Amino acid sequence: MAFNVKPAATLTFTLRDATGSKSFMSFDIPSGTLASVALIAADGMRGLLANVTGCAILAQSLVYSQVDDVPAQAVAGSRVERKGAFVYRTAAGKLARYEVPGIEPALVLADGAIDRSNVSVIALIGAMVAADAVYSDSNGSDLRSIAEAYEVYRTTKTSQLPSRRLS
Amino acid sequence: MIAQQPYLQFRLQDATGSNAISRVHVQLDTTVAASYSAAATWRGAVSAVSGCVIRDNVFVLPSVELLSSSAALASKDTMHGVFIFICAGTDQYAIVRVPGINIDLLATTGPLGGIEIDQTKPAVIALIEELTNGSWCNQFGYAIVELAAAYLQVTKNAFVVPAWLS
Repeated sequence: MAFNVKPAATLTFTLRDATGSKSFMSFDIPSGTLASVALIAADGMRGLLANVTGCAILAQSLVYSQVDDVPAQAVAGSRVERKGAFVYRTAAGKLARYEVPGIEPALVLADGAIDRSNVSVIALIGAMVAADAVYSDSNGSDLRSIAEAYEVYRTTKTSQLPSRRLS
Repeated sequence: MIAQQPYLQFRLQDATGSNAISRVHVQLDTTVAASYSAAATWRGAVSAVSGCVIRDNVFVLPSVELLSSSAALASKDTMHGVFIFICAGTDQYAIVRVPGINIDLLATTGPLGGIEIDQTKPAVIALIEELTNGSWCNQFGYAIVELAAAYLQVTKNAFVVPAWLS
């Protein structure tokens, strides 16, 4: 496993025209550019775009990408639809749920709960709720403790059906 | 533009080749370097509990305009202004497509009148100067150097009747 940063980060704008149709446009910026610098550049670019397009700019996103250029093989029998749901309690007292696709069956107890005495599970939860961790809920509230951890299945999409289906 | 909660998004792949996305939010002031570190921590922890392999991840900083302006009358997203740039490096190019390009920016004379973007227009000059100031690049990281061509491209359904007229 060797994760490398892609050479360019992408700045994408969402635009809307007079009929309400949405469209997107994007620019690339060197991936070594600090996010703070890139966001300032985005501010400037929006001003310039406003002078050349009749569309209204609704939103933007700045995306830095990493890719594994030597990917390993997935464990035989793994399925993304079988997920481990980890529900955390946040500093604000609310709950935030994050799911892990392809949860190892060996980590799921007979009643569907995830084995929280397993060292790998303990390590994952510990990383998410660590005092210096940057993870949060969608409102920016720190994750403080685990509330629930269980197995859940999601519907298989057409694109996720096995390629070999014996009749 | 209001900053929304940034997040890390991971793509996992199982033994059948199916993909799934897992997303986790991070603090608003998370730097890119810190995001890489957090992503590595998450990958290491999840790899020990999931049979899937993590193929790639992104760090996304989304923003939204709370009070967006109205689009100009007759603007249409299928009318694209296409800007082709030459980049540093051999045979490297960048293409920037601007939806809803102002028709006023098109050349009005010559054989490419109505098609070519007028590069003497101040708004066009300002955009080109920004893109060639060394801060921007193509997807391979090669800096944008100079403009090669700029023209109008009309894609499908350029003149769709708005729903309220039908």
